Amino acid sequence: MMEAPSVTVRLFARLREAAGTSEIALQAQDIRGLLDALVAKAPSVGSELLEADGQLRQAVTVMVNGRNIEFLGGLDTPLRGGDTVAVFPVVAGG
Amino acid sequence: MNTKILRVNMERLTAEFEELPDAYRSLGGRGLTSAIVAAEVPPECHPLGPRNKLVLAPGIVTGTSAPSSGRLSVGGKSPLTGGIKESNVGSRFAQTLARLGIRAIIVEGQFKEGYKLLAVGKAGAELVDASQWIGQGLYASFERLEEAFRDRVDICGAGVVAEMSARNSGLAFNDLEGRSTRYAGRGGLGAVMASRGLKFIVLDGDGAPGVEVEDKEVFDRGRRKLAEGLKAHDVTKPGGALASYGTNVLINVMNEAGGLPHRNFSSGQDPRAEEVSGERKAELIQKRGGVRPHACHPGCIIQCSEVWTREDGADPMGVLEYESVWALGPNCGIYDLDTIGELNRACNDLGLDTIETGNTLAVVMEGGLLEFGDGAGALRLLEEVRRGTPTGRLLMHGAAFAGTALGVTRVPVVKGQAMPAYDPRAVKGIGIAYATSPMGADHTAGYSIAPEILGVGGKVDPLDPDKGALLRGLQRATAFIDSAGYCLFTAFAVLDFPEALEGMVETVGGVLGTPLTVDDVDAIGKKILDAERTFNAAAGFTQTDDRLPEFMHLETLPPHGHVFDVPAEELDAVLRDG
Ligand code: SF4
Repeated sequence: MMEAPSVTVRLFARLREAAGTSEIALQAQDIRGLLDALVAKAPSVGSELLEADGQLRQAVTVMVNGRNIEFLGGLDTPLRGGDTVAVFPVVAGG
Repeated sequence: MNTKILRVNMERLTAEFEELPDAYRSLGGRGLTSAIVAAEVPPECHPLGPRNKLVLAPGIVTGTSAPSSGRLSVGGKSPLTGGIKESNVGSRFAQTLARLGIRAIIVEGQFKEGYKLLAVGKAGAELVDASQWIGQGLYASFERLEEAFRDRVDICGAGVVAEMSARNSGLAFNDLEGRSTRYAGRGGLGAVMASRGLKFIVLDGDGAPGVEVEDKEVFDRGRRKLAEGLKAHDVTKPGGALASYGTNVLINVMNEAGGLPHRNFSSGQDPRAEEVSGERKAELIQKRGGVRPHACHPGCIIQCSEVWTREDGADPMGVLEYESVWALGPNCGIYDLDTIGELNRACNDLGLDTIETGNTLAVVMEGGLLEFGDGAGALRLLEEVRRGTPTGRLLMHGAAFAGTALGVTRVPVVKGQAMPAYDPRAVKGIGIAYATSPMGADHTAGYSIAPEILGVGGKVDPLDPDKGALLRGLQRATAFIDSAGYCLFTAFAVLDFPEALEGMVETVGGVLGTPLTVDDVDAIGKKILDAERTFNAAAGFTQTDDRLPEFMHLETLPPHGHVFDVPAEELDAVLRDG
């Protein structure tokens, strides 16, 4: 099997506090794999990201190179080497 | 229900109470200011001439125990856009005005021999000489006004730029510590007040009778439902996103999405944004001993506000909002929060709107007056504004005026008003709001960023141009909220929790004693927008004013390379159809 691509994960707001870092380098084939790898590396973000049943919380926004995964392939969105993945808890302003 | 209007005639120097006409009984906030302006101001008048009027109206539930409802609408014909204007502000001033039993203050006519101050209290209203306050910064004036009257009076003030008839002059209101930091900033209403010969309004709420609620049971039920919604939503709850980081948390989100305008809307992303982000600011506020969270008025559950200070924790400036950080920061190529804080302080002191000021600075940077990123130079320019030098005069009328003076073609305005902190090429819905709102480019007219970027109130693709119906609904709902007197940020909970929306509507119905349901919201909002659009048409606006500047259709926005591609027919249908 090919080695999974390396991507940069950027965390924001409460997720950053929970993880204790704003940026993590991870390897994953797709977003589902990336979230697993993220929780494995920073278990404290788990409850911020995922519902009890392991689904991504509705309020969490995940962007790959600035595009929300909702409008790409959702959790199956494939990753390529050098991608930037931004993960936000629900935030707002105006 | 309170039924008093205070009419202040600056030509005759009278301040008299009159009965609220029946036609206005169910109106408040924006609904009332726009109705009065539409009825009493000739649309073709000069905004700074004798026939314009300034109208201040608290929302319908403002002054009651309804949460996050200390909001005031200020209306008139805008010297910036040439159209009708409602500018909204959160301040205890709004609550005190409502508790004094006053549904609106109408300031008309002109006093030309200097300036007056309008003092209003339980005993009545009077105009007194204000010459001693002329030409001074607003921070010092607000402090001295508290000394001259009493602690905890509420103040509305026009700054030195308003005295110079600046199209970019806001009206300052006090925060809870009495500083001049809460602004009805947009559209030049400071100059409308100053051109009447009125410099300050001071309210003394001591012994104010309060707001009469017609149906207490309905009101209380609604208030509970809304408060529960606000306390449950991740964005609005105590300790939630807005309380923890303030509005400025959006810097990183918008930058990631490629929609945070940098260097006069020439790029949508820059790695330096992190330096001025909400996360960074929250960290610094904590380190310096500033205040966060903080409320703009008593009774706000959400508390998005804060007190920013200098590096040593001294000289509290007030709140450093997302829009202000962006306008005075990344949009000018400035990525230092302390410089941005000082620019914001200068705006608050002079009476300038931060969004318009940041855009103006960026346009003159593009025009070669200053390098992008030159914060010290930007501060120097604002001192020229204070002194009213020729350069200062070039800067005080907003981005469109400065762009014309310097021959700049990339000028991000609609109807003469500069754009807020979202590039419409990356987020199409907000571009529809900018284009079609009767107010000019205004993100608060229909805050589609919530579903387009933040995943609040649904999730829609920011790049999908087909959003006419969404923006029609949002603009109407917003007009309702602005009339009710709620902070627009209550919408984050209301969009996601139907019971909270129901509660909001019930509080309005409870105060008025009118059975209202959620189904009435759209029609109420439509009526307000129709009145505003009719005024603008009579003032000379046509369909071609409902457009974004040409460069947004022609120049692609890095890094993602989009242009604004919503067709003109779609824009024209937004507020006409449905
Ligand atoms: S959420 Fe912020 S702006 Fe809105 S009322 Fe509360 S403190 Fe004021």
